[in-house]
Amino acid sequence: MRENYELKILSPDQITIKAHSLRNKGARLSQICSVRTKDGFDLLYSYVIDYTFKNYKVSITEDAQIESITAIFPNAFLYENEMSELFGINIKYIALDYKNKLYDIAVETPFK
Amino acid sequence: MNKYGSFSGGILGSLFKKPATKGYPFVQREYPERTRGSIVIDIDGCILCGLCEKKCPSAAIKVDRNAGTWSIDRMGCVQCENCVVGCPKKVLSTDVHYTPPSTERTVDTFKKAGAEISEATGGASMPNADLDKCVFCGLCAKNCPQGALQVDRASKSWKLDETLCVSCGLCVEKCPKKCIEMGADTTKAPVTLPQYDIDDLPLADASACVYCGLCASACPQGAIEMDRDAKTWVINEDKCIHCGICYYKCPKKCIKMVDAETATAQPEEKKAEAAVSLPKADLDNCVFCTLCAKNCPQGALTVDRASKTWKLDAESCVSCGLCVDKCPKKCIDMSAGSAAEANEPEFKRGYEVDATPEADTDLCVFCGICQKACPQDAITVDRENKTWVIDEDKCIHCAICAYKCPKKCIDMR
Amino acid sequence: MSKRSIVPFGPQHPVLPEPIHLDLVLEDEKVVEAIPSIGFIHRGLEKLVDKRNYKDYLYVIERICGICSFMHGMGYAEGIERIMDVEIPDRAKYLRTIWCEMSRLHSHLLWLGLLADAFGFESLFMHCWRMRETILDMFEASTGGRVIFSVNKIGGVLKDMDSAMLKSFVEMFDKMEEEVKTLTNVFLKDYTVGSRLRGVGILTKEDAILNGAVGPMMRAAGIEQDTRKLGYAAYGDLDFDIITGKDCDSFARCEVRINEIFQSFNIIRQAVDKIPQGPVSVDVKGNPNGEAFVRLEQPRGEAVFYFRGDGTEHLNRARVRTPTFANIPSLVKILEGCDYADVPILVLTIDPCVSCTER
Repeated sequence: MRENYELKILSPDQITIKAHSLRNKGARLSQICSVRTKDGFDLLYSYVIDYTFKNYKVSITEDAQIESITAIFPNAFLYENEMSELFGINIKYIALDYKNKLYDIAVETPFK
Repeated sequence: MNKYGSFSGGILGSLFKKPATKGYPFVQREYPERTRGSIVIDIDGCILCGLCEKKCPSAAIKVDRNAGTWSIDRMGCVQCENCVVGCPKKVLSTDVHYTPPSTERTVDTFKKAGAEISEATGGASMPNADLDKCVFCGLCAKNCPQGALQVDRASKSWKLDETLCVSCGLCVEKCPKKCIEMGADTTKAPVTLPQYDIDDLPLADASACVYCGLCASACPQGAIEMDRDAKTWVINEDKCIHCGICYYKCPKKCIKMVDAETATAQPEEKKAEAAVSLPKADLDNCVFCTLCAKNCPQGALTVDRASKTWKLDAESCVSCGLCVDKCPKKCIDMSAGSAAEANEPEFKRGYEVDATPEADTDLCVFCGICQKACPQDAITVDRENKTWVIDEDKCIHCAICAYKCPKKCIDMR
Repeated sequence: MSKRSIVPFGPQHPVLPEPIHLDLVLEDEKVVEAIPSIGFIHRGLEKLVDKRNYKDYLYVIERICGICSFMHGMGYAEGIERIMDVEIPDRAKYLRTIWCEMSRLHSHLLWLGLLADAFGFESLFMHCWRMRETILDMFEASTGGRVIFSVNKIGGVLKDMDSAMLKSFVEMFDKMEEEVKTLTNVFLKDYTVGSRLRGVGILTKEDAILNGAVGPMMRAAGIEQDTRKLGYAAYGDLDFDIITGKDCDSFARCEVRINEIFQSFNIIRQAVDKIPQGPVSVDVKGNPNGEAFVRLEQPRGEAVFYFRGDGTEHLNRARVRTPTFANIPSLVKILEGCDYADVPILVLTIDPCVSCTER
């Protein structure tokens, strides 16, 4: 049996609003990841409420700046640091910003 | 609930038990049958095809065809068994014993006895297709690990690049018609080899040439000068090395290899009036399979399945006619404007453009020919359970299955 | 206010099998803040996806971790099968389930040993690992590898276990269950163990959700959530309960893991009873085109896999969110306010796997 999950599209300015409403519903932030696309990145935010798995896809351009959700879900700091370090995504207001010192890597933004 | 000394029983018991460890190195461990210790090769059966080298995730295997050697970096090998699973000749296997530890990297090299494999092909047998039986399905070419086979359905040609062929025999196995044999007879000329003398020069037939420039871009020496606007085609005799690549590449087959005198005796090629025609797709028949766009040398075609659009960039188009050849539905026409290039569509569809094939399972014998013929792998036939399933998302409505069906039990609905 | 000092913990520390660094801000002997840093062993395995054929990448993704290597390979295979819409044979699903549960057994026994070692109970540590060795031998007999099994395949599994082998495994597990029971009673009942674990490192239900804790961390906080209940592989046909703890402390986490060991024995027995006959793999043709999420319950908790292919033989992106990556924020949370001497044990109670975390 395969899990049915939803995958919805969000615009970049809806990220924090959605996170707020999900936190109020008792969701847990399961993961954030990014995918390199032709002219930017796809960010995938996954939340879990009980057994429902909700995913939100945000497409951004290469130089867009997005807002951190660490103020809403504190565990987002690792995911966001990882994204900004490996992909070079510009994220502002991360609660604990490692400033590209999360991973010990030789190349700058290797996944970009 | 809390208590002291709950583990004393276990400790006391251990005093009287035999040790759980082995007295290595005096007592050797016995390995179970499946242990992946190290890779061994039966080098005599090896054909040095190099598939294992390609599959190795840690790049530990090196195959040198010219020296006839197969070598493995024992410390680099991660014992994943991917090479063993992928070996077409099944000469690789796993031994239960591990590589002994060492202070230096161990590289084991095996040399194939008596096989100095060189360009002379050393007697290695090459595949040969029986063209009377061949249906030009292209399965052999798709499965060739080296990309040495070229099969063209349209022109019914089956070509083997002998320099690339590693004689692995995968094409023989994959052929649904079993028409390929590993014959040692490699002297037989390939199907479409041009017959010309060693110092013949290419000459373009001005009446057929569309000045697409494919010959000029293919020429390794830059010996062909072609001007699309001025409609000129000139061969530089000094630079030409008589390789014949232009002959192969010409989509209109207007280049001939002629002796030097004829070539130079010709005045400068000039086409009187450029009746250059452009391809046009019959959108009623088109299934938007994008084969034309994929094969266009100039990238002049844009085909979008989703929105059912077929667009031609008239400025990039060189009127080479490759799209006409490649179209499986024969719905592209270049005849508009030039009678010489008339290419009447022969294939008329008797079904709606988005009709999906459906097999009449009462008539169907579940032979699987439709499954093999499907370019999109959209059909799944299960002989044992007598099921025939079409994946409608993958189907491009090309009707090749209905055409191929020996029982004619597939209907386009 | 007393004076604050910062003590570095790790990356080399007797309690840590793998490198993770924590900056502990201390006030006297109390930890007031902990700042984690990882990144000592980042290998970029996710990046390798565009260098390797998608069928060969399976062997790369297995090497993310040495403990749950089977589940990483399985998650990858399930993801690609989902994208390509391949249905694998039932027997392969049961075999995957059995190997999954064996991985859980050996992971939990390893963790119990490490925990015993962390509070200086050497002989208990040895006994746990002796037990684990039997499971590794079973893995070797059935798959050919002790740590990396390389037995998954897109479209099923590569090796079958015949009924004689399955029967001998069940007999061995029956025998082992008794031994494990005496062993785990030490953890559950011994006074010294209890004094190190009870009431330490409390992670409440609210904090667990907010910090995204997964697996035994989450279940020990009383949240009833187990990804296996989604019914992937053969779990939908098997009967098992979700194990939760109630005290939210280190002892509850230990208890949850111990109960999961017995649950795994139970699941393996059920699976061996129900396993159908038939082929173990199907052929997969073509290249993946599309995207898919897969969630699996690894020994350390829920892992999220995401794959995206574009119809070529190389995937666009492979992403693995491993359970330890999700549990680090919870670790930071439970470290706040604890005693300095408890830090090593608390780090262990999340069952850290740093290789997983950094990939």
